[in-house]
Amino acid sequence: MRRLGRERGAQRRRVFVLGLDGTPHSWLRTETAAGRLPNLAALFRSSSVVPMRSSLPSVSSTAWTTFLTGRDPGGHGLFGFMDCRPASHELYFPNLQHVTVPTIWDALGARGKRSVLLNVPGTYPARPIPGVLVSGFVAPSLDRSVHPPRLLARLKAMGYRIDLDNWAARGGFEALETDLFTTFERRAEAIRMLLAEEPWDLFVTVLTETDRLYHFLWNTMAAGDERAVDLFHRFHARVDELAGWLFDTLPDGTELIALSDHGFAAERTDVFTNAWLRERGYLAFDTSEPKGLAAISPASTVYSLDPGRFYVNRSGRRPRGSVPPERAGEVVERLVRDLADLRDPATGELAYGRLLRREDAYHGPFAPAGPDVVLTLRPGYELKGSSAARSVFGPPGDGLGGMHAADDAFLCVRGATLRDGPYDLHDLAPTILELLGVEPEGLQGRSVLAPAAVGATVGAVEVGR
Amino acid sequence: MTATQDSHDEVPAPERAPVLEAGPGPGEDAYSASDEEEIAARLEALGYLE
Repeated sequence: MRRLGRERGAQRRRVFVLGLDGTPHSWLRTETAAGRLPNLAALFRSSSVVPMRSSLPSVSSTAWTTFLTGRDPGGHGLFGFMDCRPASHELYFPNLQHVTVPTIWDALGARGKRSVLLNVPGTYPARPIPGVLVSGFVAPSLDRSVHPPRLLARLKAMGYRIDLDNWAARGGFEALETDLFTTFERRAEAIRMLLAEEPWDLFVTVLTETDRLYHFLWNTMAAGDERAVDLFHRFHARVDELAGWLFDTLPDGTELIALSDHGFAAERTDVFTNAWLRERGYLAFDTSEPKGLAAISPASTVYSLDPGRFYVNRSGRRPRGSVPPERAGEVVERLVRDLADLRDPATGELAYGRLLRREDAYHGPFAPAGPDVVLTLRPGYELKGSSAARSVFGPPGDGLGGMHAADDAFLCVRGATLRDGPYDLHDLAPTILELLGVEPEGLQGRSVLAPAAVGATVGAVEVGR
Repeated sequence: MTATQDSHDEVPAPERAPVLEAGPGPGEDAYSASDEEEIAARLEALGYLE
């Protein structure tokens, strides 16, 4: 039995968030039920644990930006790892400089509260914040990833790594295994250092090593390969040990949240959405071997970006756009009808999960820049936006064997009773602000805490089985 | 038709209104050319951009 922080009188309110990138709710349940991960299992027994929906699309940069801002991509403007530059079909990599709405550290900083963020995807380049920011994926180097700069030398001295060498990890089991543990141990060392030395009201750290293991070995593990299963068990045992250490070490009065940004599933088939658009006559290129959307033919009416984002090629928006605004609606309706036929010819299965129109998926000032249609991922079918692919369906790339799942993220809030679901990533910022006694302003999400439970004594709660 | 309705009619339809896009303006890139190569390589290793 425990009480939520706002009833703790003089104790300092704090929130610690442990992110396990890509760890599925369903898989965690299976593992804890099997007696593995004892520390996480103990946490779950005193927590509300529920499945949570990822962002649209369910990629880490979009998902964690949604977490940090309390807004869906229409509210914060990041729709994927890559996007078209404004007024162009050239691609660029969105980053923290392009997030112009307030983040949770801004809201807390305005109330004199300090945040520490370590390895949250989508937070490069680091900028001065009220606290500490060590950027996560896809930061290309550590040098511009650290605020305050005094911490850079410390992190370098401990051999801190932002990420695995993913090409080496994709190429071989041993390289993956070695890099996985090395990167994790150095991350854990950085967590311990920052906890010991930095004051904080909010501490957020994300372990992205989980996502890497899943990208390369989920299929193999799910097929029962003994070596892969063993590596999954050994690596998650280390994650569980770190979690246990954290639970024992965090100051009294700390509220604890654990979560993932999306789930994972076996990847059987790659689906190349631009190849499908070419087959259907929506998309053409001015060259036989396009290297990207910059070579799009002005006759094209729709193009796509991964995973599952479809854009009407509007005139007036980009130089090679061709669809007048008044015709965009009919193009969308035709596209929606045709996408009902995007099925695996081998099984007849629909090659995606849900189809959402822009107005149903995105809300906020950036929504008009979002995809006209977005598809969620169906387990087994990875949606790819390659411009070069000529076949709609193909096997996963060499060394890949795992894909994101949209609706199987997990959320765990210790000692809390939650309101009725569904639960979304953009609900986390208002939840954290509530736990820290800060009134959320202008956020799209809403706190997951049940109003009657806030400040009340609650018992062990487990839901979502 | 009232003045209010006239004013309302003058508001551009959403499709014709300027679209607010995130993203870099000219000269605002955070990434050097080598940074972009590194990021592309990292994303490709995980199956993106393929």
